[in-house]
Amino acid sequence: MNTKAEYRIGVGASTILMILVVLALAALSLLSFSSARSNAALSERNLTMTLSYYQATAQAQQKLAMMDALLADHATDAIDTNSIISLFVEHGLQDITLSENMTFTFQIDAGAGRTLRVEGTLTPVSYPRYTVTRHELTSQTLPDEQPLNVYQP
Amino acid sequence: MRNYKGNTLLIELMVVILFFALSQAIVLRVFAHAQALNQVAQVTNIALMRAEDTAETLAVSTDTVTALQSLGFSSTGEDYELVSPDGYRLTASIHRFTQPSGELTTVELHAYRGITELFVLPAVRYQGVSMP
Repeated sequence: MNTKAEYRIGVGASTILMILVVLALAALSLLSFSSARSNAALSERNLTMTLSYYQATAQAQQKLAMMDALLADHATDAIDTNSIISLFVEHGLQDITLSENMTFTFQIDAGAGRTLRVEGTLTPVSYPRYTVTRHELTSQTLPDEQPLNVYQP
Repeated sequence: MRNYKGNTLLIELMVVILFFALSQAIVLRVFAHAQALNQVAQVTNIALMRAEDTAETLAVSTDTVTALQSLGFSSTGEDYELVSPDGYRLTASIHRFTQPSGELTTVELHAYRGITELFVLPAVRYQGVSMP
């Protein structure tokens, strides 16, 4: 007896196949989109932090320029710490702190909880009139919305 | 009966193809959008690295124009421009403020992707007069 097996596509098989394929592709596309969005967000955050650092650096340079111009204008005066401080306050540089040994310090907000700290020494009667000895970016606190997710087994 | 089954299968196949085409149109749009997002992020990152490199070089150089030219920028009238094969363009505009005590040089680095501006990075350097 010779029986011939007949293979035919039943009703509903193509629908099931389509559903599976569409679900798989939809899942892949969503994963791809999610990954791309994460990349874009990370890139944006990196951009924001870098730009805020350079803006803070620019402000620091402008402050140094103002300070230098003031010192140059009053180079012939008898300059001591108190007179320099009052000079700074008078010209809107009150955020520059000056110690007795002519060490100046000021801080500029660099965004995302970071601070650009500039420290140096004033030598008003000689050239250069100031020397920057520290130019550092410090991170005091992490922003609340961006906690560190450190893996701990 | 056999003819009825054949018609049903044909109609089902047509419906399946229709829905498949519709869903693929949506999926392809999502893929394309994801790729566009990735490209923008990648170009922004590369341009930012180049701009940072330029800014750091300018921070330690005494001659701004020579430094820009050594980094591959070419003059376009008042500004300087760098066209990268990576798909971005950097332009540098120089502003100088001279005072008796020194000179404050501001170089604004604009990054573009096509005609879209990606960012503006300021590179500022104050150079005091070293001799009276």
